[in-house]
Amino acid sequence: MNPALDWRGPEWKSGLLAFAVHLLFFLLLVFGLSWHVEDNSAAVQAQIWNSLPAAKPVRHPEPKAVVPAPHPPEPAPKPQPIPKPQPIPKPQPIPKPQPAPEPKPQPKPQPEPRRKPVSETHPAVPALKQPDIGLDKKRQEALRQQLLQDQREQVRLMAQQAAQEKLALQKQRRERELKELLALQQRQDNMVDSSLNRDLHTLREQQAAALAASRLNALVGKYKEIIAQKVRGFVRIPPDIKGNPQAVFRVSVLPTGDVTAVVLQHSSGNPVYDQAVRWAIQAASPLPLPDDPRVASQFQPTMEFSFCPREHLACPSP
Amino acid sequence: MTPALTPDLSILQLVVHASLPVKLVLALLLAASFMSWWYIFLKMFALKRAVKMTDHFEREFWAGADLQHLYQKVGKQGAGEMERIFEAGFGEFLKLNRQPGVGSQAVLEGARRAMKAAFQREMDGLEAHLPFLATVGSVSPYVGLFGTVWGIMLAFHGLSTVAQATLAQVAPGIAEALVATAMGLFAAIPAVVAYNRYTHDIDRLTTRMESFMEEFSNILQRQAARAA
Repeated sequence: MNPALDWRGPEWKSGLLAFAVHLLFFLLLVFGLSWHVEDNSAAVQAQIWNSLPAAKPVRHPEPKAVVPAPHPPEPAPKPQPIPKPQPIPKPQPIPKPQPAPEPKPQPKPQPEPRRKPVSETHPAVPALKQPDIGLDKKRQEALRQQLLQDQREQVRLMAQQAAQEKLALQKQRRERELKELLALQQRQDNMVDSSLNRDLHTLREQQAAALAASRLNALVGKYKEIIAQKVRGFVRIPPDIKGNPQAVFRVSVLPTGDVTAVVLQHSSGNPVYDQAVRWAIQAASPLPLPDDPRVASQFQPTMEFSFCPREHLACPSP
Repeated sequence: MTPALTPDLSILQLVVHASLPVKLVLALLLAASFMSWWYIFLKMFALKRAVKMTDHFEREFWAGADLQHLYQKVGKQGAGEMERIFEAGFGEFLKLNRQPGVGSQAVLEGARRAMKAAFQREMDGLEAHLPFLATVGSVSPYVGLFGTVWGIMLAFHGLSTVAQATLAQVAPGIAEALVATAMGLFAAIPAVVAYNRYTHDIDRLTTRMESFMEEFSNILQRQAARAA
């Protein structure tokens, strides 16, 4: 009786504590260990893109219906980006700033003609009075003072005019710069549009090519991969290889798959590596050739064989 | 595999994408871990209480209190392990003493037997659930390893259908498989540590109780000699 009563408290307590320990553990896992593989996925995407013509048919040799199926939906979203750049509000900002600077020059010439006549009449009056001055010294002095005042006013007006002209010039310069900037923007937009169009064109061509790449291409790609895998097993890559250089050979093959000649077509730049690949091709001698004569005809008399040491990196196209 | 395409793979996503055997292994290990932590806390409280009560009783006992008085007090309040041993031994001693025609040697033997029985019962209570901790500590790493091996097997099997094998295609599978090993270790390490700690604590309690039994037998023998 007693122990049962005693246990009840600690049992609940320890159950809660155990739960708390696990909760803590999971929080630590979820928030402490958040792995980001964004860089990786980007690399994977790039790889697939580069090897699109060769590798895609390799991976889907049998489900040929699947290969064309994803392609038709792709052109459907692609036309969408074309209308998008058209309604892009880039033409809109051009009219907006233009009306703004245009009204500015209009008020500027207006104040200038208004003040100019005032300043011209003032000097004209003392010029007329000057010939009469010879009579009285007082008048002369008064006139002189008037003249001085007029001159001062003139100077002041001139300074004002100069300042206004300067302001107008500055505004004009600013407008010109604005216009140039807008023109530049427009040109850049045009360039982006045209490059987009070009990309779309090339994409469509690629798609068309991929569509045209039928069963034959898929099989050829598959056997290329099989042959490359067999050769890869024999290649001993020298340790000082940098990057992913490609060596291209022309290989003469008998119908049985036996290699009769290996001729270097395009060196990788590293003669030791070239030699290693040559030996590997010879060592892999009965190469696995397809049974289908139509497919075998792609390999059989001679075939071009290119080899890159690091298969997980994209091979630089020759 | 599918996780390779997701940009952000967290532990949760790994677990969700894992295959069914790996998920089962993870669930089993989670349950084992939960139970072992439960028992760890349960035992921790129980052992703390036992040590406290034993300390208290020993202090009272060796303070030279009257045995009859102690015996009555023990019967009333919630008793610790050592008190129950004392109660069993002294109760038997009194009962046998009251009966005529029982020799002092027989009385002492009876009291000893009663104490031994009580001691066995107490030990059984103290050691309960410890075998579970031992099992979790020794087996769950293997269970986790099984999940990992299974997951890696599947990851490599998935590779066989791909023409160009890259690390990025295997890595998520291996990562999700290794979660099982991590889980196994998470369940095992606390269980092993707790098991070792608690066996040591119980050993110490056992020695204390055994020496108390011997000393108490000596006291009873002296009392019997005095009475005779």
